[in-house]
Amino acid sequence: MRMIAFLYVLCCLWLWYPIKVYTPVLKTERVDPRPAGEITSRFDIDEVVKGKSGSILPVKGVLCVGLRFATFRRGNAGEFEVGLQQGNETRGWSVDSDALDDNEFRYFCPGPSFNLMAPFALSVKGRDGTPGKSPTVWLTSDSSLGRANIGGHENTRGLELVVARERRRNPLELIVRDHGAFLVGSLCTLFMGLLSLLWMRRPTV
Amino acid sequence: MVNQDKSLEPTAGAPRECLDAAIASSADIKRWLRIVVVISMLFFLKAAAFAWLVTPLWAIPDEAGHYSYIEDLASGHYPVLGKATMGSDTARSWLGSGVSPRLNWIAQHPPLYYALDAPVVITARALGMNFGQQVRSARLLTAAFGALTLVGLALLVARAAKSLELGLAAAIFTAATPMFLHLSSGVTHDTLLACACAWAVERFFAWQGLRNRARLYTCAGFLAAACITKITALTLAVPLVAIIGVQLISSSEKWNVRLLDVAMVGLLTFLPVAIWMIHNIFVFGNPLVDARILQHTNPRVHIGPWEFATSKPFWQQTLINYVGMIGWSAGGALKIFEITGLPLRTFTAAIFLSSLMCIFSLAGKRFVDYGLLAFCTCLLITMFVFATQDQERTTAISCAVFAVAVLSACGYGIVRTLKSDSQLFALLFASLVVLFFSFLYFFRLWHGYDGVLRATQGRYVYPVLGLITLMMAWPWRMLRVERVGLVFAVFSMVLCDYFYLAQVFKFYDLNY
Repeated sequence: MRMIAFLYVLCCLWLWYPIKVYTPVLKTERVDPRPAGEITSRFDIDEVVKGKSGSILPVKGVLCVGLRFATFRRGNAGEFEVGLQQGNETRGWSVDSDALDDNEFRYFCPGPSFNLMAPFALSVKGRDGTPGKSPTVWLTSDSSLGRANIGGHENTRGLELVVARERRRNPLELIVRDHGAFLVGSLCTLFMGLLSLLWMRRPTV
Repeated sequence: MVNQDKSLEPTAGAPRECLDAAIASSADIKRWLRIVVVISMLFFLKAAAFAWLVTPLWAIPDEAGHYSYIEDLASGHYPVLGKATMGSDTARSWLGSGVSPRLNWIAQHPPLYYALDAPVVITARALGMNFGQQVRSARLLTAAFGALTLVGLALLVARAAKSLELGLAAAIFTAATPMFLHLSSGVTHDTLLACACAWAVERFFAWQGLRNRARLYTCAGFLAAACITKITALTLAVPLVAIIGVQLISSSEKWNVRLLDVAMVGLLTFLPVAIWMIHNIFVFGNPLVDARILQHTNPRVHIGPWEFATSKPFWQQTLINYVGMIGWSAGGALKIFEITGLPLRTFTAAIFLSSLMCIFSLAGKRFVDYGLLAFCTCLLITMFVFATQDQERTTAISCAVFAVAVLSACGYGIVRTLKSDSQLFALLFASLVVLFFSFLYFFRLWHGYDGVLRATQGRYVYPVLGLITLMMAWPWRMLRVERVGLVFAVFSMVLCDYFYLAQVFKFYDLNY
């Protein structure tokens, strides 16, 4: 039981591993969201996204653009393309449909030359997806950053997107997260588990 | 009253009325109880910290309505559905300034939770706390009920499944369920409902062991509290009182004593909720009035019950939402996300595995004799299914396997009971009530279907949370793998924290 208790402590510590986190600097609001349709081989959506208005913000770290996908809670197959163009620079990513998380943002990082203040074009193009086995991308009624074109037709909605700063989370951040509430919660989890596991060490009656 | 089962009578040294000596020695039970209490206190600390510092205001289902109800009672007004509005501070905080308060749809609920929480809000005001702090103070009582639910579940499962390990596992697994923690950190009556129902069932099983009136009447008291918290508790109270009535009538007491006991239990359980329903009849002409009177409802879509059951994924939706549906409303717009990925699959796998073990344990004594080997077989099947099937299918398969487990337990339990074998009484009782609840839940969804699936929230199963937990714990006892169950429950708590880190915080940062 001591070994299991030791493994349990390791698991609790694993939560503090510095994973990648994304801090939004520009985003659309999730208002009356609608799926844009399955990303099958003929699917094509693009949007010109307005850059951030106002004064220039000093943003440290790498900027990434996130799109929210939905998997319909099923395993999907095939791949699709995500493209980002700003000025003369074009970047593309091939995305495995089965590797997406349902209703989660997938981030695409165009590199250090990406300018948050300038407009950029985003596109999602199907490659070999089939109906019933393809994910979708979310649209929102908040079109403050632009409106999407689906198959060449302008939609009243825009892509649900976020431009965020990517960085590794410092474990110290978790200590002060919500004024230490997560730390308190983690310690409670640790003690609840240890108490139970160590109580089990008693001989069975 | 006669103690019908001497083997379950507590020995002199056992903690009074806590657990039966047949389960473990007196010292062991005392030590176990201390652990359970400490764990529930730690859960309270965690839920209270989340309530005060993590969960944003109005991120709990219907929280603005629940809090407005408390505010009304704290001001000395009883809110009447259709007339009661949200508090102005609540409306401003929730919807923004300049928005006129909406009608409070939560006024459809009975008043117990709100009446208990009103003194907390009054005290918070007296201490000069600001509005946000007043709401967060009201949340602390919900956290306390969440913690008390864990104690009730631990006692219930330990007593009915006769295993201290499983009792503890039941409490810890419930504490690890993200939705339970989420609800415990908000203003909502759901944890009080779960608490009262779990304790009512615990007292019922205690009464099965030692038939004294104190146990019986506390059971009725908890049922009354549950019914006057949320009317859905009737789905537990009616079958529970019915079976108590049958057992009392068939006891060997004098007939007048039997009748008196039946009448007292019925009166204790149903009088408070009956008064509330009579009030509803006078005001609305309908004892079970609900918030649908406040809004235009779409016409019912006619669909056969079988077609509805096979084409609409409401069971899967309920299961997912039972595990985790975070958020509710920010600025009046729905901002919700459902648990996904590894945390969902693990919790679903636990339900699948327990259901599978339940079915196999009922299928043959020889299977049970293999114990650990039988468990490993079930575990391998579970791992295979969850490794090869996607989330949509695994949730659907888990619901189906759970349904088969409930039906098997009902069928086998009835057969064994007819053969005068009372060993499966707890499982039979649990499965029958869960089946009864499932039928009513299905009927309500099907009958109210207007083209959109509504009200498929997992918290709606809280009236039978204790019985579902018991059903899921029972096969671990049969296969003698209680310790494995406890280890699994403990590790699932890490998964709950991981879920908060990987999904919930991200969601809050983006939306609240």
